Amino acid sequence: METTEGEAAADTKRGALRGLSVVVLVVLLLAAVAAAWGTRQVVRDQEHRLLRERTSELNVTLQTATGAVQSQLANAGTASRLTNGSQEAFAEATKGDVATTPSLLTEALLAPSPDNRDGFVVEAAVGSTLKAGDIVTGERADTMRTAMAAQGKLAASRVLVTEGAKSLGLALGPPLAPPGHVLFRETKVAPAGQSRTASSQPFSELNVVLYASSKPEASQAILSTAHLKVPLKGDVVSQPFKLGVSPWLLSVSAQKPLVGTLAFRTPWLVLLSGILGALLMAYLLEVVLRRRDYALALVDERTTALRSSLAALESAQEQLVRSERLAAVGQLASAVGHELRNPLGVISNSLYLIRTATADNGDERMQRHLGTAEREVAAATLIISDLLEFARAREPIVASVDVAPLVDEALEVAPPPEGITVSRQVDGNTPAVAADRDQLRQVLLNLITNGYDAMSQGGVLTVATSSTNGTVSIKVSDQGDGMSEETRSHVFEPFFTTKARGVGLGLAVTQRIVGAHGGNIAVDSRPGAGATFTVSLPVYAGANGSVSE
Amino acid sequence: MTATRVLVVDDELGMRETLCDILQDAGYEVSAAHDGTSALAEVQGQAFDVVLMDIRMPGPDGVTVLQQMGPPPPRVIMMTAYAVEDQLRRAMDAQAFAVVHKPFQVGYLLNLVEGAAESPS
Repeated sequence: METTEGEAAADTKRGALRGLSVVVLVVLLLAAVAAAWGTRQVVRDQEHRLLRERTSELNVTLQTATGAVQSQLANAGTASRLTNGSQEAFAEATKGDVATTPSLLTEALLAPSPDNRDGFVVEAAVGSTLKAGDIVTGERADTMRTAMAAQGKLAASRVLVTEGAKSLGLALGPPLAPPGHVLFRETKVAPAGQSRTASSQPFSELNVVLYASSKPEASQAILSTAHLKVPLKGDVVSQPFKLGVSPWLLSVSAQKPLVGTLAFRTPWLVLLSGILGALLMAYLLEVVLRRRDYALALVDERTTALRSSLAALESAQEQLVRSERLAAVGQLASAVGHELRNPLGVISNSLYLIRTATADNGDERMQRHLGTAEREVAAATLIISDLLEFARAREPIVASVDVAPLVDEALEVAPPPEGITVSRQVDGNTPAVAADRDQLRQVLLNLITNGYDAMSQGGVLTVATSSTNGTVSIKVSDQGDGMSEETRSHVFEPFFTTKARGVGLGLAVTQRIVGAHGGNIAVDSRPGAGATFTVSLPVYAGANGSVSE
Repeated sequence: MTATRVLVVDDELGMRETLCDILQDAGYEVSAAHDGTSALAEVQGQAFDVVLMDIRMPGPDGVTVLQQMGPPPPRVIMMTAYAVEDQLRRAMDAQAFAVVHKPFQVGYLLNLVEGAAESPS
């Protein structure tokens, strides 16, 4: 019971411990995720800051570039002003621009049209799209009007679409243009993605889009790096870009992480190593716990083994005490038995003397009483012999023993009671057996008196001998009630008896003696069919006491 | 022919007396001794054909007395109530003619005495 409870407790403990390693795993995984997320935020902030800084630098660079455009226009304006709007002087001042800038469509000097309230009239022009005397209206005129009011700052148009081609107009008004005039330049806008930033250029790591608008409208993208989808996606920094008075927008994203690829992947590395660490920790914890479980189980097992060996020891000790007590009782029994044999011997001798002295007087009753006394002395002697043999088994002192006279002696010692006759079928040629005479006599007396006792209603007791192949068999058969299977299986056990009187040692001792002689005893019996005991003993082979094969 | 002389040695009066009577009835010339020492004296005094002697006695026991008898040793039948193995072995080793266990069949004992008397020494 204790063992079962102990095991149950150990099982519960084990269950809790397994839970512990799961908890540790989950906590460490959560910590790994949190650390990775935190790192990711830091890296992203850093990335964003770098992007912003790069964007600002780009913004300044682009501002400088547009400043150059403004200077060119201003030069043309100065030339016009000095020559009081001379067509020739304007052409002279701007032809350099046309030659150096392939995308330049036109450059013109205009003044508000006296005829058209919204339009401007071209006074001088170079390039393909405008010539002197043309009236300009629409978006271009709106840009020029804005420039007129811009106090010398550039004004830019939105993207102009003329017969599918995109262009951009820039206008500059007084004081850089002659009073009452506006300088106008129109350049082609490359389709999105065609103006590229070479990889050697300082902003090669950036995706850049410049919108001619304050909003990231795809149609207003006038400048972008290669193969971009406009507008940009992902981490994009957009800064307002002032071109003169026109609010433009600069959008930038990074082609590759600005903080460096490794730094950008740090969160994933943190997450991965965190997961690995968590798994390792959980595994180690599990191993340690399992070892502990194993050790506990081992302790349980050893404890159980110890307990059981202790129990075995206790029972062995009890057995020892019991057998010591039995041995003491046996010692007492054999001492008493030995002491009784002397008086029995004297009684036996006296009975013999009385019988011989009274043999002639013919008193039959006297003779019958003497017979009874002799039988009872023999019975008492047999009981003592069995008890002594059982208490202290004696090894047989083997000599040559003739069976026939021993059978006669046994029948003389234990004559049949009234109602029973003995059929003696002893072959005179039966060879001598190797036996302890006294012990074999005891065997015969036991079998014969058992046979008598089995036939309370009378009958015939048969004692027969036979010999084959170096073995002598002695059969003792009765015509009693026979034995059940159950009785037969216990008949040689000590203290087993079916008789009203008797200790129950006779057959146990008989079997032991026969076994000690290297012989064999068998019983054949069925209920109602009597019983036959057969003792087989080896034939005497020589004077040196050896037993024949 | 003179009668066969038998010496009975036993410390118990009952046994001694009944044996003497039985042997006398059987025609033997019987003497008796009550212990080992007097048995040795008897043997030295006259020659016996057969000695019937108890093993366990006060003073020297039967086997010791047997060893001190002779030469030539008489034929000795030892008697014992104690079926103790080493005692029996000692008796056989001391060339006892036979060992009989008490109580014995008188007929068997008489056969033994007769056999001992007739056997060549």
